[in-house]
Amino acid sequence: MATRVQRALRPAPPRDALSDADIARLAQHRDPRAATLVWDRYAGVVRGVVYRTLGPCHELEDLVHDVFVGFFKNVGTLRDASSLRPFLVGIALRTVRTTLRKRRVRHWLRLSDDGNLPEVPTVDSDPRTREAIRRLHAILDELDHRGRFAFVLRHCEGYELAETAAALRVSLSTVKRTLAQADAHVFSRARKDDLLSGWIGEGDHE
Amino acid sequence: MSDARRNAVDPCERIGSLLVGATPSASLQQHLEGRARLIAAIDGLRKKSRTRFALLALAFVGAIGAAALALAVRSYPRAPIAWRVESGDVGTQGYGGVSAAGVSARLVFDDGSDVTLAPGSRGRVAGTTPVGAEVVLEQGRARVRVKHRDRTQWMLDAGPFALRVKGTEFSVAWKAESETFDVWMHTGQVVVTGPLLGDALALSAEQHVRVRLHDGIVQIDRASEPSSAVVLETPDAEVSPSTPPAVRLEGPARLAPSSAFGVAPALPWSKLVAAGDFARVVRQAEADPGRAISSRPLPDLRALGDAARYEGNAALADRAYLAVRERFPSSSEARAAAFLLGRVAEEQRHAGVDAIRWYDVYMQEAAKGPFAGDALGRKMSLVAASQGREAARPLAAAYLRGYPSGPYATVARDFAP
Repeated sequence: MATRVQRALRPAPPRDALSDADIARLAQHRDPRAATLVWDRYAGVVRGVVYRTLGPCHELEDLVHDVFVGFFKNVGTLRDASSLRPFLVGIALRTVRTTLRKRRVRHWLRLSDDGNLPEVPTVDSDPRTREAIRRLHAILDELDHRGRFAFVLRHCEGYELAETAAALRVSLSTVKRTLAQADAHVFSRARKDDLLSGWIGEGDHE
Repeated sequence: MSDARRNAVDPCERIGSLLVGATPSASLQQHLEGRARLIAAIDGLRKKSRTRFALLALAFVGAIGAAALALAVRSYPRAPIAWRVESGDVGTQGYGGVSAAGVSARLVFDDGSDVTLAPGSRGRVAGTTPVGAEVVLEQGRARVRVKHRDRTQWMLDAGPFALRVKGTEFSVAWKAESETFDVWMHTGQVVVTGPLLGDALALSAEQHVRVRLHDGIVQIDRASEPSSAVVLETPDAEVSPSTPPAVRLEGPARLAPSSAFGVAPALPWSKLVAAGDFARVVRQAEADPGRAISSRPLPDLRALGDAARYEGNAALADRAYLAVRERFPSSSEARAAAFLLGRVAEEQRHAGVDAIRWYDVYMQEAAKGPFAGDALGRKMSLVAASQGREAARPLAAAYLRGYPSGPYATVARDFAP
């Protein structure tokens, strides 16, 4: 009962009334509130997608910023305002793809040190987990962009197959094929890795 | 890494969990800096956009447009609001620090507004425009009185919080050491944005909000502002040994969590889900599921449904989505919940009939909704699996009419060539 009283007396913050569509429309109308609203709601999502598709990097915050700036530049083209989240994730994937291309060019031109991923802190302080993450991203680096994105969207972001297909702008059958190849490659490489094999529980992949 | 992640069945899911678990979340500082950087960038975009539009307009309408522009410019207030220090010591560039033992510093603006910095406070005028000003309270307390005019745009920043003001009178305090933020409303309305407050929090006359970032607590009540004798906490270096204990905030800070005006739990589930912490949301909900289902706000309920779905907890996902539909029947989330109930039924309970029923509900309620194509596509696949390709043919044809390049188009063409 006390809780109900408290809630009745507490004014509901307007955010509860703002759906993704509301926020997208504010952005389309260049409302000054839009930047705060969309950042607070989706910075974590975008950061997660960028981090997991690109791997540890020192430019993470810059890339997240670029995604949101890209959103505000292109929000006029968003036809279904309620699709704010997939629209942002799509921009994030394009941003990551561009970064991966630049990274390859830099490596090809030998502007990077040795092509190895930099040592960037992760949530885990356990050195074995950090090393596992480093090796895992090295395996993901062997995939093409589409396979890499499909793998992350499906297994990290929890996307359904149809959602993954829509995000990658390919058909469902294509995404199934891509994902099957990516899964097989990652599993095969991880199984042979002494550290990662312990993680995946070797032998139970069908 | 949690055992739950290690125990995921599919090896690829385990690998995904490894990546998710290793993703560092942004600190509060990073989040705020990122937001400030974005706002600055958007302002820059807006200015560029305005410039481009103005050039096009000028080229298009020529001299008539130029004349209209001149008229518009003439009718617009030209000079930024001027301000002066009526009492106290505020230095150049608008920066002011008021010693704990000194008198208040009062800044008076030409538009009739004024800001009074209490002893022990630091603040500055970040800038003024023809229609308002931005004042930054870096530490301490300020009393703000903004005169309402057409197009007033006043902003007050206190720590990571920002207050948008049209015309009102209020007091605001920010203690950097304890990361505590207070607003006492006297008249009018302000809109506060900042950590733990969601997108924005509107406050009206006589309300008080306290945010304690360390504890993650937001408290809204009608506590009155401490008297001027109860001054704000100041940095230790500035407090003389004889400073009385009254330097500590009293009154509202002493409200017990069970106070009639309540304490709102922080860390909304929608944010936890956005950060990928599904297990934590499910754990918190399962501590008292009845209360969670009956009292959580809409974004949290939707987040709970998603978190439970991702965690494979079909029963809890069903409860959350059903509660969304029951408690917020006119919301877009209620319609989306119908589709998601279908997904749970299909994927986790393997109940095809239930899934088709929910997909039908969704298509009926949101024929042009974001999941309409998926609902039709899923229904088509389920009907084909349970009743055969012939039964799925009309659905496939309908899908191809509505979504000729949708994700199920290839399958649909197979059923209805």
